Amino acid sequence: MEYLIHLAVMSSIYAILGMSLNLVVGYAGLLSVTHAAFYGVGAYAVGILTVSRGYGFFEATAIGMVCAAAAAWFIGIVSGKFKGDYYALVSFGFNIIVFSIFLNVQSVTRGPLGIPGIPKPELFGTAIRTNAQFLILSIVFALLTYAISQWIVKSSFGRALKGIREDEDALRVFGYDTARYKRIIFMIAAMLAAVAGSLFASYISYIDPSTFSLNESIFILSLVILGGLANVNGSVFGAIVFILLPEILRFVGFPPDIAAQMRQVAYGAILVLLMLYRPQGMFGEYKL
Amino acid sequence: MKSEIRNEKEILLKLDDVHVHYGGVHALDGASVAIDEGEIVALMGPNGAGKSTVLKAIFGIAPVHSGEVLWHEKRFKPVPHEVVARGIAFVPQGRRVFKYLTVEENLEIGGFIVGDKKELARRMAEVMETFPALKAKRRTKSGTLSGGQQQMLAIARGLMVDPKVLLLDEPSLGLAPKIVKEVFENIKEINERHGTAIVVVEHNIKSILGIVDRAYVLAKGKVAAQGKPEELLSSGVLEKIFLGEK
Amino acid sequence: MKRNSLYIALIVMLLVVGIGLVMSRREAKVAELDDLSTVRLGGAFGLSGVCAEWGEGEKKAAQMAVDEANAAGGVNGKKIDFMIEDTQCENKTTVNAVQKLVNADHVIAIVGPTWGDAYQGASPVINGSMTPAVSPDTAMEALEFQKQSIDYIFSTYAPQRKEIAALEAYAERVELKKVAMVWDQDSYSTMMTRLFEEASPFHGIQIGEKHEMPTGIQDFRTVIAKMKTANIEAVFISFLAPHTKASFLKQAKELGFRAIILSAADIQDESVLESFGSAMDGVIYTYPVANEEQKAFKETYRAKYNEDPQGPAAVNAYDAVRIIVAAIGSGAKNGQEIRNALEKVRIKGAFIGDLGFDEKHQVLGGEFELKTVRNGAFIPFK
Repeated sequence: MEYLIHLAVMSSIYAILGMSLNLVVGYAGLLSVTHAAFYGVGAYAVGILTVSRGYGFFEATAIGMVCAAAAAWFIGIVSGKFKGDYYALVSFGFNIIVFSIFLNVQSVTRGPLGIPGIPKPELFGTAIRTNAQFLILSIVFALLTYAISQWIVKSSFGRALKGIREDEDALRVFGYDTARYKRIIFMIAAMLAAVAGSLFASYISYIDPSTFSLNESIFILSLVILGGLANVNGSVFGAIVFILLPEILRFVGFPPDIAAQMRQVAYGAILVLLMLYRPQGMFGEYKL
Repeated sequence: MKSEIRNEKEILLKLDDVHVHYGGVHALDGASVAIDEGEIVALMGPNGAGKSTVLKAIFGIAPVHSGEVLWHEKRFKPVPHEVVARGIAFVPQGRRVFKYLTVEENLEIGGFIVGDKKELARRMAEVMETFPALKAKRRTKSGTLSGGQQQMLAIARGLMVDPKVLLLDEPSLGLAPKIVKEVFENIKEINERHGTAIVVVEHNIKSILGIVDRAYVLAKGKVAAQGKPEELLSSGVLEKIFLGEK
Repeated sequence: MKRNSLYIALIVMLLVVGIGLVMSRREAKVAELDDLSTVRLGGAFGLSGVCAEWGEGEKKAAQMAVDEANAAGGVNGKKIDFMIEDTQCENKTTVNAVQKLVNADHVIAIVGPTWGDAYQGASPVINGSMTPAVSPDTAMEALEFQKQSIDYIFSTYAPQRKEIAALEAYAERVELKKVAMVWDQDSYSTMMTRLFEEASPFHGIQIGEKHEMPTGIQDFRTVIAKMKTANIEAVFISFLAPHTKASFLKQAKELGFRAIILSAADIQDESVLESFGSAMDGVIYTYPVANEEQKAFKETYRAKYNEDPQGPAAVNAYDAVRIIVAAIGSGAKNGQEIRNALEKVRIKGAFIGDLGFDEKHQVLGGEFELKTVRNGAFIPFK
């Protein structure tokens, strides 16, 4: 049961990451490969502030969200001039820059050694002790993210995002300051990713830069694409699949000598087959 | 049908000696165009003459090197998301409706600058009356509409701001003759019903000259001829410009 | 495919996990070994990813020890059920692997995780569940720097402080006054250079140039050229992977860099020597003093797997299993008792002759000798 609870916690964290990135990639059509950077900002905010400065989890999370929003605002201004593949490359670059900061500003982040001993959150003076209690917290945040995402995509703001995705120049003709819309959604997505980072840091209780590298951004993007672009439910589905599938494969009886390698092959093959069958993702509205 | 510009002082929209450069290419080379209230004006000319560039210069999506764009005789620098607030609506070439959004959502986008929800609903109802085919498909994703219906939607979307000037870039492009006729009839109806000035770029000379008040003929980025349709047709200037004779 | 079908597929998948868990572990989690018919031992090894070079050898060596124990009748008459999980050499997946072993497989102890100093996320799970973990390659000093609890964590890897001391003692003997350092941004390398720098004043060594490189870098020509120009007499290198060290040595040779190059034991990797050969000649490194048991281990490994032990810590994994077996064999019945027994038990180890743990859960004793590479072979350095 504990193991399933653990997987459920990880699934809810990645569901938050998926839903938030989908707002940018799926709805606004911005191929962002820097989501792990904001995930890391949230994680490090909690790691640094709770361990070294005695902040509570919720205060540290709020500060992390503000930092992520500020970073997103800046990145949005610089990358706003680019489109399509060039936008992706610029976002790549930002992830690498943020990763380098985590790795090199060792006086603050402890560099490659990472930050251990991150405490669990306290609610009304009582610390969360068990994984089951943490699961409740992470599900609450995931549900909040779901509600926020659905509210955005069903609103006129969401309509404008879809317009940007389809034909930004045509949308400007109607008076939309599309650059501002893109910046706003990027900031919202960054703040939600920071929440996921806060949860991850406090759940695992140890973070290091390697968790927030470009690979992680690609992983999050992959789960969004698999789940389906421009579909909030799809991101939840994608997160659950990406977390559960490798774990399910642990139970498949491959020959022990090659079990690890066969699981990797099987995992890759299943993903490829899923994308061949549904290139727009399981619940997707459109293809990238 | 208005046949001439009534009074220089009442000119609604003017381009005065405008030069548009795309790098080394002079898309407009000192073009001057004037549009009066309530007129339908055509911009014609061979490919590369600068017709669409005139519209883009008005809307601020072409790099104006020199010259002036005037609105009610006052100079202004067009910025795309601000121009529409002045009452100038642009229907770009190729329809460019948002395929994954419904007809209604496309129209709502068109009415973005209309702050009041009631006013927006009123305009939508009015636009639906002008285009009954759209009313029947208001909840349909616009990507599933026919070419003609999409063109109507694109025009309807432009009308949502109740513009004083509607800029249409090749509205008949890719449409069957029967549909083209319908589209031009809609354009005429809009002008008569709402008093909207319309500037239309068109290749379909015969059809468009049947509904416009005046026309400009552009060649190599300059206005080569202008006047009433019957004057242009009888003078033979169109053949000269289109067929390249001096 | 309709969306309802997809939701159903999702539910089915979740059910498969649940059923898989139930069917594979019919017995409920129990606290006492007495109630089980086998001894469930977990193995958390890096079998894919950057540490797979280490993890594969560790897995095979550990399996060899398990097979030997089972062939001799198991532990207290019970066979060992060895459950292996791949940590994939990442923090998150190491946590998943250990979570599965502890909470789904209900193992009584764990061999691993590979590179537990880098993947510290698993430590709270190990300590919190009171499941002793004996890692074949964790540098306990890293956990100490991080003030991580080592309550249930042990390591059969060579104590790094002792190793560094032996290396610096040599440097002091040959009167190396100034030693430069080149390392990559890996937690192990960072820790090693920190230990080297901390110990240097006690050996009259001044630390010269320091070059911190991005992890994964393979081209050291610029930094080597820079050190050559500065007439550096000696340099201590520490990188994530042994083949990275070998690349450094090769490039140093190509550029005619004549400084003494010092390294720790992890450079002794047969598979890396096969690739680089005499390009590695000249490096001086410390290595635990060999004993007869290690030779026997190598021969048994070769006979079983038809290859030399892979990675620097295969023998440590072999010893990790054997010491856990000894702890259980002494009468320990649950995780806490096994942990207490591990703190006391001594066995004849393959890595270190007299194998036991000190208060920091590192191996007791352990003498280091100096070694070098000459003509493409690892030999003692005189």
